[in-house]
Amino acid sequence: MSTPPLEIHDLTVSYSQKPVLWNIDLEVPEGVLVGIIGPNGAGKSTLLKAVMGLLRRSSGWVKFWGEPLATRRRSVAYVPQREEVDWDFPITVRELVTMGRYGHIGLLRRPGREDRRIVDGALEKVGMSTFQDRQIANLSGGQQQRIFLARALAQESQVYLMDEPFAGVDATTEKAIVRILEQMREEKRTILVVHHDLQTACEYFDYLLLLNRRLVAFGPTDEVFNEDLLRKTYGGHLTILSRAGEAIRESHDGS
Amino acid sequence: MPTVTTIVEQTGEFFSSLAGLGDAAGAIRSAVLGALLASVTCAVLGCFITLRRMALFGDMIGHAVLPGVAAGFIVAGHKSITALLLGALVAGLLAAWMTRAICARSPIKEDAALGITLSTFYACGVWLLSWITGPSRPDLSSEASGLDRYLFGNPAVIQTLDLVFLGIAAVVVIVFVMLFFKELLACSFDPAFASTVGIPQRLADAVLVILLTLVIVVSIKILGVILVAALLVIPPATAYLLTDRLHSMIFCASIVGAAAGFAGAWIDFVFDSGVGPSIVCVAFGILVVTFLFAGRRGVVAKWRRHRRLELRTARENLLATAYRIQERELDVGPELELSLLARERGEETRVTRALARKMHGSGWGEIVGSRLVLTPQGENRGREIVRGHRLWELFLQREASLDPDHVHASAEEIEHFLGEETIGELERLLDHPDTDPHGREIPTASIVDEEETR
Repeated sequence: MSTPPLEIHDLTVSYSQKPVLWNIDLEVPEGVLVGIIGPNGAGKSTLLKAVMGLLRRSSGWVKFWGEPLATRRRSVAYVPQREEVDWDFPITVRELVTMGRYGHIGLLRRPGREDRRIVDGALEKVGMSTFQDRQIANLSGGQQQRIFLARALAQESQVYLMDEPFAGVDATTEKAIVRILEQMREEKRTILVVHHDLQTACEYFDYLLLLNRRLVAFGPTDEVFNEDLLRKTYGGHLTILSRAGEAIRESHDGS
Repeated sequence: MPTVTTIVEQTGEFFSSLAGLGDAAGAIRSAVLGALLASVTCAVLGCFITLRRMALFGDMIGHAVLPGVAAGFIVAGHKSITALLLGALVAGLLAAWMTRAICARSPIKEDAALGITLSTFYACGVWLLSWITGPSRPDLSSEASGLDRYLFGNPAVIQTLDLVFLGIAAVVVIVFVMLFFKELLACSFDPAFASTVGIPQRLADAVLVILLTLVIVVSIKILGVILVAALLVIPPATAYLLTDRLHSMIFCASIVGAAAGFAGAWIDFVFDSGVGPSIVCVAFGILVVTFLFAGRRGVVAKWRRHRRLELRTARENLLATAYRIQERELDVGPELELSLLARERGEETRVTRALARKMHGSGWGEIVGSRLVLTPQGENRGREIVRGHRLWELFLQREASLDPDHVHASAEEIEHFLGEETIGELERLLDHPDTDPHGREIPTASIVDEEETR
């Protein structure tokens, strides 16, 4: 078997000594659309951030096609949560989407004709071409998610990690985004999406990653989307893990 | 207070000195050049500082360089510009590092950490200054006259070397911003994303803090340690109100900075008010004027839009009242007695008359004697308003399952904003209804309208 596009081995992440994600082991095959689901505070965003190297790992490693992120940056795209940026920032829709090309352009150079063509295509695909010269303020939640998606599309990556791309989105936009994700999957791209809604999760994704501080299950949706595993993910069994985390922090604090 | 004549005379002298005439020409030219360089450099860098919400960080570094100035003086034994600036640079960077360390290694939040370093470093600076000028070291105190000017700034003591340093800082900042514009944009807007595409966040942050300290250090002789932060914040804040792209924000901030720098130098020359305070006051004045008048975002424009909307709403409400009367009493034509309108609205005729007067200039109607005479357009608009109102009520009742007595207030507001397109869509959605929830007839699309569209 060829090396998987994303492999996570024994990943643990802690906030001030308190582990919030425990010993995650994961191999994501190529060309699948993965939904990451779990209750609030399960560490879904933390997982994406740790994979992207935005948070320090206290143990374990993450590899893309068997290599560390640093050598495969162009092949991996990250879409942060919408609330993480200032939507009053003096920047136009087009400039924001063009940021997706920055990893390809390199230092001291400006976007070229090819970059502009790709940005045009990405804007077109999410239906935001007519908004391209507008400042990003006053956009609706759905429009904000669309241009975030367009920026990711402009990155032309192989692996996509998206943090709640459906948050604050109306039904029409949600359908449109799902269609784009499905199209990306057909192009053999691998996509991981943090998602909140259990009802649509089994409909949108062909793989599910059930997460609650630790990996509860990962596999094809029809195999893992069952009551037993969902109860394990959302039920009380795992509170022991958070209590253990609390105990570790306390012992470090010396209290 | 200087008289008008002296102000004019002084201004004349100021400008002729700038042109190179008179004894003081050299000093005044240096002062103005220094003020311009400091203001523009601070403004350019300040754009990134304010967008990254580091405005107070600039203020902190401004205060924290003071002990460095004093230490540089003690080491050199005299007011060597290079020694003072080096000392300031070291102190500024130390304070920046200390703030970051407090945040990283304790639960203390950034604003508190800034307060701690700012006050501690400033206290040390004041203490060192009083020790220098005190009796214990007569060798130092004899050399120290003018050192306290670093507190408030004074471009009269600007020397060529100061200008050279200011010039270098300006060039470094502008070249840096031009070369790394897209990286700075990404880091300022979305640091997490920037770091995932390989822009090193910590390095970018460190370079920005070093540049910030450098710019503050070379500017304090003009602006003083306390006021330097103002120029890092006020021109960028002004530009933020005016522009919606980063490069235009930087350009606009530099112009505001330059204007404030120049005007500040001139005001100081005429009124002897101190260059730093004058620059800051001018900059604040520009900010206030911008806040009030700037384009669509200005307060005045907002207020006028609000007033226009209020006027339109008042007029349309009166037209709707007229339509309701005409609908009920078939003998009422386009000329309506004000008293009749007043009775319908449940108010005194005097109030209705005042309202009807506002019709003037709308093209919808005018007061003639005791009557309001509506034009066909006015009658038409009234009909549209009532139509929108009733359709909306029906829509709310059917789609949102609201009781009939819950829908009037919302419709009363929305009726003024429903465009033709929305009304058409409502009609389709509701399957072209005839009556509203209260059993009243919904007027059909008006005849004038149809003629216009043909």
